[in-house]
Amino acid sequence: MKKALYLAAFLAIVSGLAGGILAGVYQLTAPIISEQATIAVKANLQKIFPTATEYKVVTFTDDTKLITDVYEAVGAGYAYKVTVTGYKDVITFIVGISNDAKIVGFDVLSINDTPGIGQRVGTEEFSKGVIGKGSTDAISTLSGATISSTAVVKGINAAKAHFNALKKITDTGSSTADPVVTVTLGSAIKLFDTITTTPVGEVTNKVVEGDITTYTVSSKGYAVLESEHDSNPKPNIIIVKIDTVKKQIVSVTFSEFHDTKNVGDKANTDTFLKQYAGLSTADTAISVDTVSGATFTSVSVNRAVRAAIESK
Amino acid sequence: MEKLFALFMTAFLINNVVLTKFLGICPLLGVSKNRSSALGMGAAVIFTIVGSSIFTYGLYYGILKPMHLEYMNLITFILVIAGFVQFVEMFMKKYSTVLYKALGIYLPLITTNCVVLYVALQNITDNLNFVEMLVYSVAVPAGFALVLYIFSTIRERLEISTTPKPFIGNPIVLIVAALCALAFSGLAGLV
Amino acid sequence: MNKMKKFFRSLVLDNPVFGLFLGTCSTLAITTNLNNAFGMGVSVIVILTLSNVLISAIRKITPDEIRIPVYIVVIATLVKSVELLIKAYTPELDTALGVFIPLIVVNCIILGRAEAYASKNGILASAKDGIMMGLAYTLSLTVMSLIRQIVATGTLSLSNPFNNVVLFNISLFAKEFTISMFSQPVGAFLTFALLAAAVAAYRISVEDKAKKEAK
Repeated sequence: MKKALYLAAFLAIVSGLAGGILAGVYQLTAPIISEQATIAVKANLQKIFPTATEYKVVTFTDDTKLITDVYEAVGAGYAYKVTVTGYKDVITFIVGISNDAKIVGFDVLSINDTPGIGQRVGTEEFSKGVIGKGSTDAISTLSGATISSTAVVKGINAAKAHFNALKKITDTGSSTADPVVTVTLGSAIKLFDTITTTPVGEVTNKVVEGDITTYTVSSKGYAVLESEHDSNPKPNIIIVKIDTVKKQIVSVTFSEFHDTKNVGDKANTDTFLKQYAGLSTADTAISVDTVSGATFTSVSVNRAVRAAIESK
Repeated sequence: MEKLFALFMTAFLINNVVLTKFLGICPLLGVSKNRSSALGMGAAVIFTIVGSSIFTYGLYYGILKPMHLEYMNLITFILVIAGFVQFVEMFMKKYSTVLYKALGIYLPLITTNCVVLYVALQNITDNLNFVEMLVYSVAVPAGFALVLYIFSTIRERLEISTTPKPFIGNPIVLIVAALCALAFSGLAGLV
Repeated sequence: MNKMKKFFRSLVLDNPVFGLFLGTCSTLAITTNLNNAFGMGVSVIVILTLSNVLISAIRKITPDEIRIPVYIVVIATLVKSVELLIKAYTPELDTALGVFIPLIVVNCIILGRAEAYASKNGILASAKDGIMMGLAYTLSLTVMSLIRQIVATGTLSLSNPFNNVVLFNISLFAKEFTISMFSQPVGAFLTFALLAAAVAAYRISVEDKAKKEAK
């Protein structure tokens, strides 16, 4: 028993000494190690806050888990290193918010998305819509680079949320709302264009109520024709209301949308669908402007309307 | 659930601890001579890693982190591992003397098996939660056991074939390892 | 001349890595370039020498039953200190060597020498043993890195780990002739196997010569 106690005591003393020495080394190296962390990002921080002389690492909590690091540029503002998942790979960027609640810097550190499409998030085209905005203003996504820009905007919103919480600025909800998706209309395609000849839309239902006939049309869209992701792609179901007396389209709406979320459903917006209202069904030259970045879905709507018009 | 499966397959096959991370080579060279000792060692290592991982994980998040003593992780982990291996040794001596004799000196050497300390450290570095930690602690040594078993079967055949003199023993095993590494690197697209 | 030959012979045949197969894990993992080899080699020399010295110093008062845990505590403290110093002063080396710095704790060479030599010999002798073994290990790492880096990239380069200033960067042959497989696990095992076989061949020729002389 005595021997065992002696052994345990010896080991404890050795461990205690070891711990003490290690604590000493740790005290010596800890400040240098934490400085190393800022040195790596320092160049970027300097670009965003050139007037600041001291940068400190800030401990933070972030429920979105998008923010990886927070730095305080003493006297100037806060910089956030954010990592989000873009279309193909992760996107890492730094966003700087000045002490007077304005976004003063936005720098993409690494991005691997499609050049000319997702990569536009790293260009001035996107950053000019970010820099200068206040910490409670909403930021628009890029039309045609929806997935990448939506991810980045979500990341910026997370940074804004932390900043606003820190500075106790109440946000009207612009930062937490889903990013505003811009719908731009592109080139016009005639309803009776060759592109809408096949595949034809299938009229599955026809209801006559006086002057107005309502057609339910099933039309193959992006999911069925192009997408390789879908294991069970479905066509879009579109409701076309036609005034058979005035020979005019009354309205076109989606009953079922099965194309790509956040991409094709830009065609399921007022901006696009209201174009159909009032078009003459006797005119073979009628056309609508397709949604930029959602051409397939727009054309599928055209096919549906054409099928409705041509059905007997 | 999908995430756990991907975690398991990655640790088990794709980032196989022996063939891609070069850990556990010493026991590989030492114990893979025949199938039964390979299986025994594999089982012992899996048990040791799961057990010591649970203890080191608890130790880190229960004591070290709250007391800001993270830098003591290396000393405490290795002591926990050494203690656990000692316990496994005593257990085996009592209940499976055959296996104990077969593994011989290699049983206490599990303490210096890089894989054990590696898993204990990675559980912390990768910020795994408790369930992920359990999955990882089973997957990694299972990968080690798999390679150990494959090697033992190959080595049994090598015994009766004519190997060039300088290659007899460890060098030819390393050539086999090179070929296995090449084969396993093809699994990269699995998950 | 004989002394030189003897020294060379023992360096090759009792080589901890290719002769005795100790410390193989780190050898295979980090020998992709010279920087890593020197960084790891120097770390091991420092840790091995200090651990030999410390263990030799306390060998007379350490109870036999707990000597292994005590050695482990000493080695772990040294390794962690070196790790913190590397993180602070040469962060690129830290990223390059990664988890293999803390894994020096379970490098069989260090515990092996502590048990086999330092626990039985004086401080100065143990220090010398530590330095010699460490140098042999570093030499093995260097040879393997030279082969792997030259074959895989066609260039040989070295930079100062403290400030990343490139000391030299020689391009030996065009990129088309490089076998990039050598920077992968396959190449690591292959190079190791060939070097180990070379050492074994040398050992066989030495033994054959000794047998002939004995006749």
